[in-house]
Order: sequence, then structure tokens, then C-alpha cells
Amino acid sequence: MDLNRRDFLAGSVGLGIGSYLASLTLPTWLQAAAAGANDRFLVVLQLTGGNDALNTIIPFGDDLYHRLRPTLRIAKPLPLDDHFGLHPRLGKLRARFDAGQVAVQHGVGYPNPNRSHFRSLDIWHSASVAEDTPLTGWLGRAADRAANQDLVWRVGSRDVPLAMRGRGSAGAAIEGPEDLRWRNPAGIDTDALVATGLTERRAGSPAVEAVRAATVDAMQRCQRAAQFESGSSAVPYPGTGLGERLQLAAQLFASRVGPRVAYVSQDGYDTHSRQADPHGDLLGELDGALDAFCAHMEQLGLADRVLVFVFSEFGRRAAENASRGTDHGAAAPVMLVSPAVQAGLHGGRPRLDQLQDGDVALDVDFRRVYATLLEKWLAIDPIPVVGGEYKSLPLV
Amino acid sequence: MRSPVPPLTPWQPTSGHDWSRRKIGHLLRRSGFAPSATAIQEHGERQIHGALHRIFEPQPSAGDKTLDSIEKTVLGTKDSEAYAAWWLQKMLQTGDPLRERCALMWHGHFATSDAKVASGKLMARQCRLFRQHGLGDVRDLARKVTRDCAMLRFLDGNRNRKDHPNENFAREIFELFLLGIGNYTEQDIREAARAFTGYREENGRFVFRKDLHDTGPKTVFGKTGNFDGDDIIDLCFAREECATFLARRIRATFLAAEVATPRYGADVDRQLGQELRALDFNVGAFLRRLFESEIFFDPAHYRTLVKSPVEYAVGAARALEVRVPADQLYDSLAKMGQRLFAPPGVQGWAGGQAWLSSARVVARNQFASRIVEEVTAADEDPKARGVRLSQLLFDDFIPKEVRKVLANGKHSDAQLLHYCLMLPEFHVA
Amino acid sequence: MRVCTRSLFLGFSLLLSQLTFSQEATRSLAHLLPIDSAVVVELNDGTALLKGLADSGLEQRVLTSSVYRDYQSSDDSREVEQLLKVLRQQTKLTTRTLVQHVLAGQGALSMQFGGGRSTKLLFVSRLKHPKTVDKLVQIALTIAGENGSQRRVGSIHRFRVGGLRGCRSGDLLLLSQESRLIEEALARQNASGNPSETASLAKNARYQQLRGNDGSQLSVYFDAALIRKHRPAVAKLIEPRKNAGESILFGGYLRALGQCGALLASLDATATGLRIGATTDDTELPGSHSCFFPTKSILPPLVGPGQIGRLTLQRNPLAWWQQQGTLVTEAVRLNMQRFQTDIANVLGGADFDEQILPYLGNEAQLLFFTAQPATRRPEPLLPDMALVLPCTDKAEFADQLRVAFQTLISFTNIERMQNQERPLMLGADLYEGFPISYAKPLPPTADDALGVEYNFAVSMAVHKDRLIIGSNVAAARRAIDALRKTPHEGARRSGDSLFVDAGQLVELLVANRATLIAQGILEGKSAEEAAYEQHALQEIIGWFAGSQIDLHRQQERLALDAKLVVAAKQGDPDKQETAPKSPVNKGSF
Repeated sequence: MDLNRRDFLAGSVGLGIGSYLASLTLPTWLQAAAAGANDRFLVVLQLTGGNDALNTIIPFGDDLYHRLRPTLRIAKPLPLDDHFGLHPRLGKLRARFDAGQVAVQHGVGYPNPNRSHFRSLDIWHSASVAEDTPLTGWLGRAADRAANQDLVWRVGSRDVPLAMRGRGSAGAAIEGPEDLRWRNPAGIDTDALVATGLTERRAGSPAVEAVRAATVDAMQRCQRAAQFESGSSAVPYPGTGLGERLQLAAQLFASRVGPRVAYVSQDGYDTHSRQADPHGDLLGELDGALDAFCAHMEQLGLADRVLVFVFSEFGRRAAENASRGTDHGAAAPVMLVSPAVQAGLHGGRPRLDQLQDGDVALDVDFRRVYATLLEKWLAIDPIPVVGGEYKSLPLV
Repeated sequence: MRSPVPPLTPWQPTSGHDWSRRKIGHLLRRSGFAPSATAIQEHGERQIHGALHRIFEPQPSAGDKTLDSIEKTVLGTKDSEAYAAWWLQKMLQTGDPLRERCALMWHGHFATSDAKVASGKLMARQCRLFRQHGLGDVRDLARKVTRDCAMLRFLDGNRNRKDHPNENFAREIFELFLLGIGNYTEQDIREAARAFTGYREENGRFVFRKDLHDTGPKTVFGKTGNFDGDDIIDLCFAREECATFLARRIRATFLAAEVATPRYGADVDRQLGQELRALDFNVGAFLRRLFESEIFFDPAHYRTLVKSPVEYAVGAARALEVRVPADQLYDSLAKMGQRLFAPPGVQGWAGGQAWLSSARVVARNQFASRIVEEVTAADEDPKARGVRLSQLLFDDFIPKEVRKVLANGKHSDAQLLHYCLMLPEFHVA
Repeated sequence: MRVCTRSLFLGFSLLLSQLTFSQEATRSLAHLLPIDSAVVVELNDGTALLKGLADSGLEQRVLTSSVYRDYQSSDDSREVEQLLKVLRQQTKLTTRTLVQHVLAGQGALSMQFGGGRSTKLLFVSRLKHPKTVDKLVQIALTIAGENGSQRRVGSIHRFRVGGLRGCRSGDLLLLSQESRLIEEALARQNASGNPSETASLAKNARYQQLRGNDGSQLSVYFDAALIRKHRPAVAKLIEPRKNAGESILFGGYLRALGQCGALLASLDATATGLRIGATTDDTELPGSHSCFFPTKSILPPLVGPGQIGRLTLQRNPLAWWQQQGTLVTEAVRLNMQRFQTDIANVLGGADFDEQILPYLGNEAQLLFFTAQPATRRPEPLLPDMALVLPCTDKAEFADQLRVAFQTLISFTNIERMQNQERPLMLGADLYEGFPISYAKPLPPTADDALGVEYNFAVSMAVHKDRLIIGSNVAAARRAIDALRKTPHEGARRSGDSLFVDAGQLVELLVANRATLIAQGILEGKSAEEAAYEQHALQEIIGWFAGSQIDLHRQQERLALDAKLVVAAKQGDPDKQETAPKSPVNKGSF
């Protein structure tokens, strides 16, 4: 019998199971976990290592920039206005900026900058500057708050970051599309057979019924996910690591298989020496992957409901070092990419003439960005999650 | 309406046949893992008392001896994953599965994650603590936990000093370990934190540093004294809420997510807590009472617990008597949402229906697909095989349609097994 | 593992029995095989092969081993024995004679691609004892009953047993699942009087080029071009690699295999052991791949006492790094860039491709020595390992390296302290006038019941123009010894090589027995099985004294040459007298 899963789920098997699966109403606890038709999605994209923000969103109109960066300065960035420009490897992002899809918030950080990667990431992840080693992160607490353990998934890696850990949940982690494949024992297709064991409701036993409904649901989701597997998209993704990870996030959102928030990272931004080429390569990887992801969302009609939040644990020193690189800095801009954002450059220009200990001064507390995303985008009360009242920003 | 029946009223068989296949399966799944055909036969031989004797005075298996002999080698060689693999192998092979089930319960209760502890050795030691003392006096266990290096590291014990108390540890002891939310005040936490000052982990050893300990008077739950950590534990156990809280954990692990019938009154957990206290907080003795009680065998509590990934996977392997490499099992369990020594947060694993999110169900399916391939094809008529699986895995208690499929003789062994392992009934204990 | 040993023996015993045929090798059977054969296994001189197995002592070692006895009592072995018993009774011949009769002569098995994923097999044999074969065919037909049939046309006897078709004509036996293949082979045979008109494998230029001068006892020919055509996955071998390690280790070989026209592998048994060879046809590689086959800075192999093994790799690391755009995928290239940044961060801005790679030379030798246990017995007991790299411009570079070493240890210690692990102590040692830097963890405290001490303490030394990175101080010392004792102008060998001293390897396995058994138990085996596996592994390795594998490129051909030297039988002076073996000197094969 040459019968594939899709045929069977579409109802072509004479068991009536396909239509049954399709018409099945899920119990409320499953509905709560599942992303609904009108939900919004968020990609949290972490540029690990501390991105050199001054060479990403470049204040080329400031003479001090050129003096602080004698060898690393980008003389001809892609202008955003008469003062700022993007790194030349961010051409596709610039097009999206022109199309009103990119919001930049300048000067985001936290007080008393810490220059350790570990510590600074802990602060960003936990949304707490307290001295104690934190146990929970902002997205984990958001999941606790929303009573949805599937709110956030780690995408493209097995390591669940602190940001995702709540008191009671840590989401899921998937490395690749194979983690979403409904499998059969080697050489035999048992889907139709398995489905026969799932048709009859177990009315008398709530726990068994819950498993039955969850199994049907998982099979349906895998079927949907399979439709969005790589290769099925008309949008080509670059063959880079970040490209693969964002493609996986797109698959999750498109099929509504899992989370509303995908946690993705791109590392390598710790550029202490001879950074020009590698930093350009990193931004090129970011540009290509991000653009493909946005185009994919447009193609699926999801663009208005998907937002990408790009941050790094710190910026870098304003002045370049003796090795033609840059050292760990402090406040830096964050980026929000989506047609739904209030596009443009927000916040005051970085004052290179008023550096604090060699760094651009803090303008906006990072928790205000979190509060904005939680309140305006995910509709989750930010106060208990972020740990206080942080005024939201006009970014979304 | 009749007055409530005390929950631990001993269950009385009405006839010799009342010690049924279904009850044997129920007892074995709850007190261990899904049983093999041999285990079912052995435990069915001498009525419930014979079965309980086997559970509480277990004979070590050949696997127990082998694994005990290599425990130290494993501890010496690698990280927490290696010890997790050892522990899983122990669960797969042991003649004393209740011990491992209890240890697993305490691992989730006193949740500690290697993600922060970052020492396989310390995680292994904590696991040994749960394995050695998990069935004993829980007061003793709680005191040992306050001295456990992994726990101290996890909850910032070293930051808790006289001049700078850290409340993490005291807070979790009250909220998550012994009392539950609402049974203490913030002031109680602050005072209790002072009692634990000086409890430290240094180079993998517990030390009590008197110079960092706050020797001043503390007031906790309205009582004042120069308390130390053990005093705080005693103060907790002196309160009824503590016994109720712990009984609730044991009930949710071994009896039901919720008590499903009003027959035993509205405050079952409090009643169970009183029993626990009356048994001097001895977990083994309490479980023995539970496993021979009316409430345990009440039909309302048959198949009321969604199996954790460990119960599901280890149960499948034990019931089908198939070998699983423990490192693969560890990875599969992580995908199903239960990475040993790395619970998701301080609250441990949420359990119940939280095990059933889509990614986790897919992981169960992937595991089932794989383990089915490991089973040696039975040299048996497919119809007879189906009938036997129905008994072995489901106590013969499945919907009629399912029974027909199992007995129709049309499917290969692998198909039948995969079918069984994906039936909702197998995911529930 | 157990299954593996079983099939090994099954294969081995069949091989032994099949090789007992006539010595006089007539001409190749290639003229009977299809020209589009993709894989051809040819047994060319079985007598010599068998003699070699006997002379080397391998046959006796196998047949008298405990694992072979265990195999004989297994179900697999019994099934084979039962079948042979039936055949003996029916033919009234001994097993040995029976097999001799059946397979005396030459044999060749060819595989062609069919449609889709199917393949077609044809077996051709030139018989010495047609009558015995006839008898066997009759037995098979009797057993097959309705599933068998036969007919005779003239001297040609055609038959079918189940799905297998066969034909005997004169001294030829042909077997296949398709009668068409048999008929075609017969046609080729009939036309062989006029060879120029027949398209057969013998006419295949690629086959001729490789097989022409090959005189090996057993050979396997692969038509790589055909295989690539039918199995597109194989064609992917020439694509950029998805893994940097895979690229630098195997990139050149994979490219050569993915590009060559054909490959010939061979097996010969000699009085000292087994010899396995493989060679491609002439394959011109792109210039970007020259980094995998450097010709400069080739050094003599290092030999020292207590050596378990030695892996030599010859690459031009700088050229490889510079060709990353061609050799690896974009994702890998980005990761290599990241690596370069990380290195620069740690080493104070050092540029990996300008300040490190150019000084490393074109050859790496990884030496393995028997471990010298620390005071507390560590588990596992790793062998002492030392990586020896040539480095030019030594004075300045050596200083840089020492600084780099200390910087790396400092970074590591920061992380170790954060994880509350014992920090590494930096230390220095002077050996034969050469300074060795090392870093080892503080010893565990006495009351640390679970504390383990590994025999691992990374060390670094510079010996003249060689850089040594050792797994501990002892390893660095032994590498210095080896460097001192190996003549700098000794014989040089081009290409990669692996040398293993089997006796020392067995000792290492014995030292780690408990750990290895524990590993087996965690994989789900019983204690007995895990222990037996270790025993079997040790016994099988013990059959050999050692091995030497060389892989190199000569002109445009990739060539592999592997020698497995059979160990001298202990307590068997008779054998040692008749077949004296040169003592196995490390690296002197």
C-alpha cells in the first residue's frame, strides 16, 4: 500500500479519519498553547559577542566617528539620513528601512555597564541588574505569566538560554526540521494504523482523552510543518547558519506548530582585532538571512504579524584599539524589523563628544524595550515580567 | 450523603479473583514502570500482600549488581550526562523500581539544574542522596538537602552571609520544598535566610562557616530563637501545612493529578498529610499504606496520571524487554521535555498535561519508532501476539475498535508495537 | 559487535573454503563480463591467497582462537555445517574437496546498474570439476521442486532455481537473476574468437588502465564514473565540504574519489601478513586542492620507545586556509572567520593566517605512547599524546607560542573558576635542555571521594624547529626523545600514514578495561557481553603485530597501501624457525 501521511490526513483513507482529525475541536488547554490565527510572532535575534554598533548604524556625519576609527571607519555607508548610514553589507536591510520596516532605538543598555560577556548576557536575559546569579529570564517569566510553556522556543540549537527559563517552564528547543517530523519505524508506514487508535474519544478517562487529543494535534501539526519544510518556500534562503535557523523559525510560524516567540542567535561578534572583514561577513550573513525571512513572511501573508528584535549584549568602545579591532563597550542601538513597526531612527544621537569611560552613554534602559515588546506586541503584562514599571517606547 | 471514607482505609478484596490483572498492572505501573510479562506473573501470584512484599522488600536483579559495580567508574569518567545514562540504565534494569521512581520525584521536587551547578559530580551526588534516602524519613532528607553542594550552588548558598543575607534558598525551602505559597510571610523568609547564613559549598564540599553565620535571634512563624538551618526545617515540619504539602506531592506522583471522587472528603491531602506525620514522615511506610488502600484501587483513579517521559520510555523498554542504549535514551527524553539533571526551572517539571505539547508528543513518536526496531520479532502468530500485547500493555482494557485491530492478525510485529506505543492508553498510568 | 564478529567469521570461513582451487590461472574472465559493469570482484589467484594466509600464521591464529571456537558453537555456524553435511552425503565428497571442485578455477562477480535503484548481478566461473557442479545443481533442483526447472540444448545446460538462473557450458558456470545476462555472456564467449567485435569489460579503457598490470590475488574494480551517474549522492563528493575538520582531513581524498574515473582495490596474503592496496586512475585535481598534497617540508617519521601509534598528515595549512572560499561551504567559511577572530582575541590580535599558519610547515605528526599513570590511577587511562609540527623562524615564534600558551591557560582558568572547578597550575620543566611548559589541575582534596585525576595536563615545548603540544609532560618528553633519536635526514615518506603497534594497543585496552566495560553496560549490554566484547576485540587485535597504512598521491593517482603484519605465535619456536620474521620495529615496515 503506497499511502503517504498527507493522503491519509487529507481523508483519502476509507476510515473517515482525515475529516475527523480536521474537525476535531481541541480542549482549551491545548488551544491556549497553540498559536491562534491572529496571534503575533516574535523573533528574538541575539548577536552574541557584542556587536560593534558604531560600525553597523554608522554616524558618518560626525567628525568624531572618523577620528575615533582611523582604520575601521566606514567612509561610505548606505545613508539612512544625512547623519547615519548602514554598513555596506546591509544593503537589503537598507531597502527595508526605506520601505518603512525598520525601527532603530539608539542608546539602549543598562546602568553601570559590565564588560563581561557572561555577566552582561545574564543581565539582558534576566532583565535584572541585581548582583545575584539569576535563575529566570524575561521570556521564561512571560511564559509563566501567560501560562503557556510553548510561548518561546529555542530555534536552531539545543541550549536553552537563561532568557527562556521561567520558574515552571523553559519552552522547547529544536535544532532542525527533523525534530518536527512524525516518524515511522524503518520501512513501514504506520500512520493510518496509529490513527485508527485515535478515532474513538475516551470520554470516561480525562487523562487518556487528553493524550489522544494531543496526539491527534501533534500529527496535524507535523503534517502542516512538512508543507513548510525547506525547499517548499519560493523564497531562497542563503546557505548560512543563520539562514537555516531563521528558515526553521519561519517554518514554525507558518505552520503554527509551536511557539509565538523564536529565540535565535548568531555568534562571532566578539571582534577585538582586525575586525573589518569578519565583521562585514557577519553583517552580510545577518542581512541575507533576515531579508529572506522577511520576504518569506510577506509571501505567506504573515509579515504584519511577525517582528524581529535584534540586540547584542553590549556595543563596543567608541575608539578602535591598536589591533584594528574594538573592545567591549556599553549602550548600543537595538533594531526592530517588521512592517508593523514605527519605522525610523528613535532616540538621541550617540554623543561621541560626551563618552563615558570611553563608551556611548546610556539613553534608554533595555527593560523599556522589553516592556514595549511584551505590552504592545505580545499583549502580556510587562510589570511582573520585567520587574517594575518601565515606560514603553513608541517603536510598535 | 454518606460521611467520607478515610482515604487510606485498607482495600479489601471481595473474592480471590479480585486481585485482578488490572489491579496488578495498576500497582506495578504506579510503584515502578510498565511491567514485563514476568513481573506481572510474579506479582500476581500471592495476592496483594505478596505483591507489596516484592515491591518493598525487593530482590536486586542481575542488572543491579552489574550497575552498582560500575557506578564509581562512571562517576569518575565524565559529566552529568554519563551519570544520567547510568541512572537510566538502572531504571531499565533494577529489581527495585520504586526507589528510582521516588528519587525521580525528589529530583523534580528539590529541582536543581546542572545548567547552573555546572558539575556532573555534584549532580550525581545529589542524585545518590535521593536514591539512598528517598524512601526514608523526609525530615532527614530535607536536612541533607540543605547541606547538598549542588543545591547550595544552585540557590546561591555561598552568597548568603551574615552581612549580606541571600533569600533565594530560604524562599524556595518555604515556597517549593516544604510549605507552599501562602503559608509564610516575607518576614519569615528574611529571618530564615539568616538562619542559613554560613552554609557553604567549597571545592565540592559542604562547610559551615561560623564566622559567616548570623548568631542573632530570629523570629520565624512567630517563634524566636537563635535558629540554625536544622531548626528552620524542624519549624516547618512542626506545621500541619508541611505534611499536607509533601503529601500533595506524593499523591500527585503516585495516586492522581486530582482526587477524582468526593468519596474521601474534600481535604484528602490534609488527611494524607496526617498519615504521613503519624508514620514519622517515613515515605516508604506511607507509600506502602497508600498502595494497599481503597483510594489507590478506586476505579476513579485508574489511568489518571499522564506518564512522564521517563516513565513512558523506561516503561516501554521494560515491558517489551528491549535494550536501549542509555545515551540515546537520555537524548530522546530531553526532546520529550525531561532532560535529567536539568529541570526547566526551580519548580521542576510541570508534569501532567504539560508533557503533551506538540514537540514533546512528536518526540514520543520518534522514540516509539526507534525502540520498535530494537524489539526482536516475536515468533508468534500475529493474532496471538496482538491479544498478548493487549494484556501486557493495557490490562486488556481498551476500546473495542482498538482490540479488534490488535487481534485481526493483519499487521507486522513492528506495526503492532508502534501502534501500541502510540495508543493514548500507554501514555497514562 | 557480537553480530559483527559472527559475520566476520562467516565470511572468513567461507573465504578459506573457497580459495582452495587450482593454481594455474588462465586468462581473465573480463571478456565475458558486460562492458558497463560498475563493480567487479575478481578472484585471480586463490591458491596464493590461501598459502599466504597459512604461511603468515593468520589462519592458524584464527582457527585456534577462542572467539572462533565461540563462533563454531553459534547458531549461524551450525546452520552452515548442517547444509554442508547434506551436500557431503549427496556428493560423497569431503567439504574441502567439494568446495575445491565447485570453485576451482577463477571467479568474477559483476554488478551493473538497472533501472531506478535496482542492480543486476552476474557471476562467472571457469570450472575445473563440472561434474560436481552438475550434481549440486541436481540437488538444488530437487530441493526447489516446483520452483525449479532445467533444459539442455546441445552441450549447454540451462536451469532455474527459484529466482536464480544458471547455465553450464563447457567449463563455464554462469549465474544471475536474469537469463538475459547469461545469454549475453554466452554470446560474448562464442564471439571471443573474434575479440575485436565484442563489447566486453575487457575492452573498457578505464578497466584496462587499472587492471592491466595488477597481479593481486583478489581485486575489486569500481567504475567511479558509472557509479556517479547512477548514484548522484556520490557525485556530491566534489562539492565544498560542510565541515572544516572534514575538509582538512579528507578534502583531497574525497575530491579525488569524486572525480576519478575508476578505482581498483586489491588484497594479497603474504608470508608476513595481509596487504591491501587501492589506486585510482589518473585524476587531475584543481589547483585549489594542491594544499592537500604538499611536497615540501616532508620529514622522517618519528620513532620512539613505547610508541603505540603515529598518524602523519601532510597538508599545507596556509594554502588550505586561503582556499576556504572553494573548499568549504559558505556557512563553514563564516565559522572559520569567527575562529580567526576568536584566535586574535585570545592571542592579542595575532592574525591567524598571517602570523600563525605560515610558520607551521606542511606536516603534522601525532604520536601516541603508552601512558605513564599518575600517582592515583586515573580512569580512563589515556595514551600519552604529542602533536609535533615543524615550525620555521623558531626564536620569535617559540616565544610567541609560550606567551600564547600562558594566555590560553589564564583564560581557561577564569572559566574554570566561574564553574568552581580546580584551576590549572602553570609549571615548567627542563628536559635534555629543552623547556617544557605545562598546565595541570590542582590535585583533588583527600576527602573528595569522587575526585578523579586524569593523566592529562596540556604541555608545550619547542625542540629546534619543531613545536610539540603534548597531553602531559611525559608525552612532551617522549616526543623530544623521538626527535633526538630520529635522524633528521632519515628516509622521508610522502603522503599521510598511520602506524599502529597492535601489542601496545592491546595493553592500552587492557588498562582501560573497566571503563570500556562500563561503557558497554551503559549501552545496554550485560556485564558478560561487555566483557566478552573486550576480550574478543583484544584477541582479534592480538592476531596482528601491527599495521602501516600509507595514503599518498603519485603523479595523478591516489594510492593506498596498507600492511597488516601478523603477530608471531608465542610459544611456537618451530614456526619461528621455519618462518623467521623481522622483529616489528616501530615504523620500519
